Amino acid sequence: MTHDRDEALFREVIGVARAQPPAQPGEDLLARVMADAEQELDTRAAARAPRRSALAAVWAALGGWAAVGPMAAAGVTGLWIGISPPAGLSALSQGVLGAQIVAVPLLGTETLAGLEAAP
Amino acid sequence: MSVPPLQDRPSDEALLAAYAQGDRAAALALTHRVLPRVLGQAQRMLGDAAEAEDVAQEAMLRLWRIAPDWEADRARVTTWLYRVVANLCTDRLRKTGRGVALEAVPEPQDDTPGAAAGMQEAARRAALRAALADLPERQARAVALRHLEDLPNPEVARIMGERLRTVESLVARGKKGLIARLRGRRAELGYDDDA
Repeated sequence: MTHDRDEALFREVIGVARAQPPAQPGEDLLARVMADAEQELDTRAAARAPRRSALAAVWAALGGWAAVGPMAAAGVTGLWIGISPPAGLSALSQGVLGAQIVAVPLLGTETLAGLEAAP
Repeated sequence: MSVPPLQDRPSDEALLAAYAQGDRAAALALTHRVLPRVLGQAQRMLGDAAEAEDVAQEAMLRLWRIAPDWEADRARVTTWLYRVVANLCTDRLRKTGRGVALEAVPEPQDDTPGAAAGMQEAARRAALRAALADLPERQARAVALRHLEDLPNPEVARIMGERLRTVESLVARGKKGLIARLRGRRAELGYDDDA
């Protein structure tokens, strides 16, 4: 008897939940779901795009190989001239600037000795 | 526009694969196909339209996210969605569904028999929600899939990833637990105690 009443109670309560009219998604829900679908595609596309490192960004800002090649060549040439000035350079600068080139060591021998003595 | 014969329609899994390749039209077609069922399942478990919409949206979002990794020989999309919706609903019930008081059911705007009956139905849905929320989660999922969705036990077992015997036990214990929780509210739910 109790079992039958319990079973009837269960059936009726479940029946009320099942008897709800068929769910029809509204336009708003449909739009939200499709917006999520679009967003996911965009997110994945962004994740697939090659990432540029900070170094690559600096490289690109300088103009890439086309710009950095000549710049490097000029730098090396300047360094070489500084280390080993051509024989005619002193005479040329004297003629153009009216001054003689004097080589001044940036680090004196005392300084180097001090560095070596440091703990 | 004529509807293509069923055998010519792409499967849910094919639509999902097409979406994963960037096909937005496939996503729309799949949404039209599965969203009503997803929403209906959530409404029956939660008894609340707004919450059911939130769950349906979340379930679909999870589907979009898993699309690139979907294995064609894995579960069917519908089976997967049944599981996700059941899990989302029990999670939500655990957080918000307990102790739903019948007083929370809105009073009818008029005193016609139809309004009173509507209120009683709402009260019964609220009682079911509270009882489901109070059950252990696996029992709640099993009993909801079996009795609210009217799925056979082997299908419930596939959805839940459990053995058939385990599901049979979960359904039986869940039903018993629901009855125990509803029995004490028989009178307030409008069932004649002398019947």
